[in-house]
Amino acid sequence: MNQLSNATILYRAITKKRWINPDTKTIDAEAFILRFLERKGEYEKALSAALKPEQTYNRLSKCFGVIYFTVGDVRELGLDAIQDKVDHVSIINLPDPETHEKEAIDIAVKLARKAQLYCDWLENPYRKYPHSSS
Amino acid sequence: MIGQLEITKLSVNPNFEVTLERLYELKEIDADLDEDEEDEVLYPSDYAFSVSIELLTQLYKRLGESFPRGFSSLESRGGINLIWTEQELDKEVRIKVPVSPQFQGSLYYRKGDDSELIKNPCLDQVYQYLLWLKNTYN
Repeated sequence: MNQLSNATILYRAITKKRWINPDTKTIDAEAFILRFLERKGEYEKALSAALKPEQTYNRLSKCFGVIYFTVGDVRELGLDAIQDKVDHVSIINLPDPETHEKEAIDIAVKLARKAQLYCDWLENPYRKYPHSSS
Repeated sequence: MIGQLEITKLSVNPNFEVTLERLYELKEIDADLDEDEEDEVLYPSDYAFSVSIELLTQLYKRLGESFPRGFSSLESRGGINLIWTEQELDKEVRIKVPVSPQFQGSLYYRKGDDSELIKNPCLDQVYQYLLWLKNTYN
């Protein structure tokens, strides 16, 4: 894949409602902290993003919105963004949340400050399998 | 006289009520998600939940009307993050309640770009940093 320019806009799905601070509506650091994957028994190695908004959520069961930021925002923090599939970008070099907890939160706070809400579905989330009871 | 009796509702700081409600929401079952299909923990552990309730209650006993409104989020192992922010002062306090006693909790506090992390904080440290959150002088 081609190297992404700093101006490239990246989109990331909001998979947890509380990635948005309910009082300030700002993006919380948790949106940019590597998650523990239960089946693998280890932390993910990179954060997922995409070049188009719909690519971020079309495989998810549920999505509360989309946030966006640039590749330059990522690189300014010493991280990098690598397009590894046509519809997927990996944000790499993030600190391990267990062994480098403070650094992981610091970086996540800074990235959260740079990111902005592209769309907000907090009250009416996208569902892959809509059900009538909601 | 019965007609003059008034039932006095106990006054509870609404910030505490809202913070507690937001914690309870983490336990609500989400019909859209199936734990067998997701490669991540969807709900906090009973341990993290009960410790969080106890912590908020103890903090409220100390802070009373000064208890700040906060929110909680799921930590990816199944712990709970209790989060308070003060946007105008660019400050935040984050308490990580671990998924189980085998893991460490933490207190992260930040003003601007200056931050510190304390492992396994005691109640008094959390209390002091919630007071610090609203303090405009440091």
